Amino acid sequence: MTTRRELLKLGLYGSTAMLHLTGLKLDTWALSENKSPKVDPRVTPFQVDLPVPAFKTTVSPATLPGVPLFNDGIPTDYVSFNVQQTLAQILPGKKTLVWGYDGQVPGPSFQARLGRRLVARQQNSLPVNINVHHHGGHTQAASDGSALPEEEIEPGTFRDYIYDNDDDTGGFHWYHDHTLDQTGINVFMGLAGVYILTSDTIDALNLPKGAFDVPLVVQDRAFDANNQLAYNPFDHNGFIGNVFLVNGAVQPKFRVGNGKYRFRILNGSNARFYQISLSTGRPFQIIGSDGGLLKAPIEADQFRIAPGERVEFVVDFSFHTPGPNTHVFLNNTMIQKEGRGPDGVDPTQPFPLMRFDVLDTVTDISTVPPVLETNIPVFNPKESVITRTFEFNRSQGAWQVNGKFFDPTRVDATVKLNTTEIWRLRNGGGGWYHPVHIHRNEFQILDRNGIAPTGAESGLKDVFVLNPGDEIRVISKYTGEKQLGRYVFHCHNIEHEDMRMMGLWEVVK
Amino acid sequence: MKRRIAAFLLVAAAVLGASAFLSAKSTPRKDPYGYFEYRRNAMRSSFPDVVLLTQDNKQKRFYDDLIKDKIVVIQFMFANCDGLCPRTTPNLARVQRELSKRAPGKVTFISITVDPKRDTPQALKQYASHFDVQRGWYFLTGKQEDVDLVRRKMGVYDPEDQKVEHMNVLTIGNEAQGKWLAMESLAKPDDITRTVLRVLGVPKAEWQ
Ligand SMILES: [Cu+2]
Repeated sequence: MTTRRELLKLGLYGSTAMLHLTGLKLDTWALSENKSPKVDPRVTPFQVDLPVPAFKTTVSPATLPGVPLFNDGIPTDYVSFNVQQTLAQILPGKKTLVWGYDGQVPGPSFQARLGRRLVARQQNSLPVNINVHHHGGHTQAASDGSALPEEEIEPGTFRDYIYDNDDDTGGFHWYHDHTLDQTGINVFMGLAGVYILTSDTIDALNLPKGAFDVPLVVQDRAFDANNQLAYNPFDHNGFIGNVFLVNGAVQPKFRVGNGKYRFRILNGSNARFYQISLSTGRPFQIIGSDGGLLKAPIEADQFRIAPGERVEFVVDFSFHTPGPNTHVFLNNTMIQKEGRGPDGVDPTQPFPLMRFDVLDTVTDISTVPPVLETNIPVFNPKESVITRTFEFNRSQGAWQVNGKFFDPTRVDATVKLNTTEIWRLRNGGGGWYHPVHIHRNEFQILDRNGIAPTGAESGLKDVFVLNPGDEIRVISKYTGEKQLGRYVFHCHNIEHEDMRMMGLWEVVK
Repeated sequence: MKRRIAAFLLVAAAVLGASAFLSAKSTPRKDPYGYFEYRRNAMRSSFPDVVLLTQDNKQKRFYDDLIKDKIVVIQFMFANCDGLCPRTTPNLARVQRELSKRAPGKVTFISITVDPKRDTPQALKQYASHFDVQRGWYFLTGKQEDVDLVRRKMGVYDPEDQKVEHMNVLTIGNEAQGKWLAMESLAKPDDITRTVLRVLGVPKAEWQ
């Protein structure tokens, strides 16, 4: 007799449920209307190996006609992407039309280094406009991909993005589409990838490296009866899927050795929150947040991760005897039925996002050093020249900041270069969750409802979850002569963002 | 597969026709995978083909007559509204005037009452007469359950208060391409106009 709990463990619970196939027509939106999305019955977990996106290799600028060249002595690398459609085998049977940077979902990973400039050409071979945002980067305004329609890349054209990589620290960034009003579907179709910014100080740490340093892009998706992505742009509360992908594969398996692994997890979902833990219940070391490594590792046995957030953590598999039956599951225990936000953690309902198969015996010389990032900037509240307040609220079914919708021609805040500011982010109520993302800078959370941050939130952040009733104060110093101009901040529940829960701000001299 | 391609070519021809009319510079978008047709089919169930009545008391099928193959701007309102509607309708009228210059005859405006019991065709005609409403703008009423179905399928209802609360939401779409978005009804007319042109597929050189 298989219990419900065992089925849950296997990712099979709900497989008898809900979605009724009538001929070829599937009422895909039943998913959002029935308020109880169960796992898609077509899915069998742990059938495919975890894909690890390859690093993008550099090319000579001579191969990129018209690309900007520099003679300022800063070493510059060039990469070139073709953003294109392709058919991917995600579900059994018919392939799925997806969009990918270089036709890959997730796209190839950026490998960048502090102090080295990277120029990325993005050629748009899709039938729609796109706009590429470097999420987490201290990026020049014209290369930030800030949802400004005049910066969109039209079909058959390209844009060259300049990434100075002059951030304070390295970090686990990502890149994804940011087209005004259309980000939800563009990201859902596959336009997201990892951007790893490393540094000499990070490389000098004896953390797990190479094959032991693995990004995990977690996303939920929904599929129609033809195995095609079933995105509903009318689900304005936030789109929730019922198939779980890690690096583009459905609940994959990953062969590991009995050593330490550095996992970099990115929640690339449109609106879903996750609570991550291991099936063993064993603690792990959280080493990084959105904007880079922490000062020191933090032991934890679970963490929450909201859309747009990143968490880096080291798992030690040396407690396990390698063998064909040694499995560890990466579980999600967050229940979420709709885009409004998570319904809460239920440890009795673990859902396996992926499985680690501990098969290999390895010699592990890596460590988790007690001191990690030593270059984290300290932002002094006494130096703050202004405290701005932004309230994220709902108005007659649409999403606003301070009672206004995003207007790409209206600047909502003007920041003077080289000053420190405190931004107070406030939830406008109604029980909604808003993971707020601010472009250009990394921030320190001063307090959440008056209480100092803990866990990964104590590190550098660029996404701040506003739980119902929350008020968060974040601080940053707006440095960078090259980074003048217009940027956005917005809710990273992408459906909220697409309905213009977004503000425009400007850095001026 | 052949049928899909044929259907796609028909759609492409329709789109190309519209673009060619609009602008000499606009080029047909390559769509070798039939993305537009796939999205169009995916969105089909969001538009129930219920029969609604116009302000001229004419019957129209919501999908077949008003949405299919069209570029549409859809607003939900009611004539006795003393909240947002009195401002959103003139705002939209300005958008319609602007679009009649920049994309003449290309954009259909639809205002659907959320209070169909009070808003008879005559009441809607009376309401529309207060604004500078031009041709190609339908004010629609119908059976309560039909209107509610349309609202629910289009995601324009409030989970807290489904009955009275209508939304500050303008839905804009290009049916043939399955391209849809929602924005604020009270956005600047320029912003809405530009958004419609973008949805139409007009190159940015022309709306910038
Ligand atoms: Cu939000």
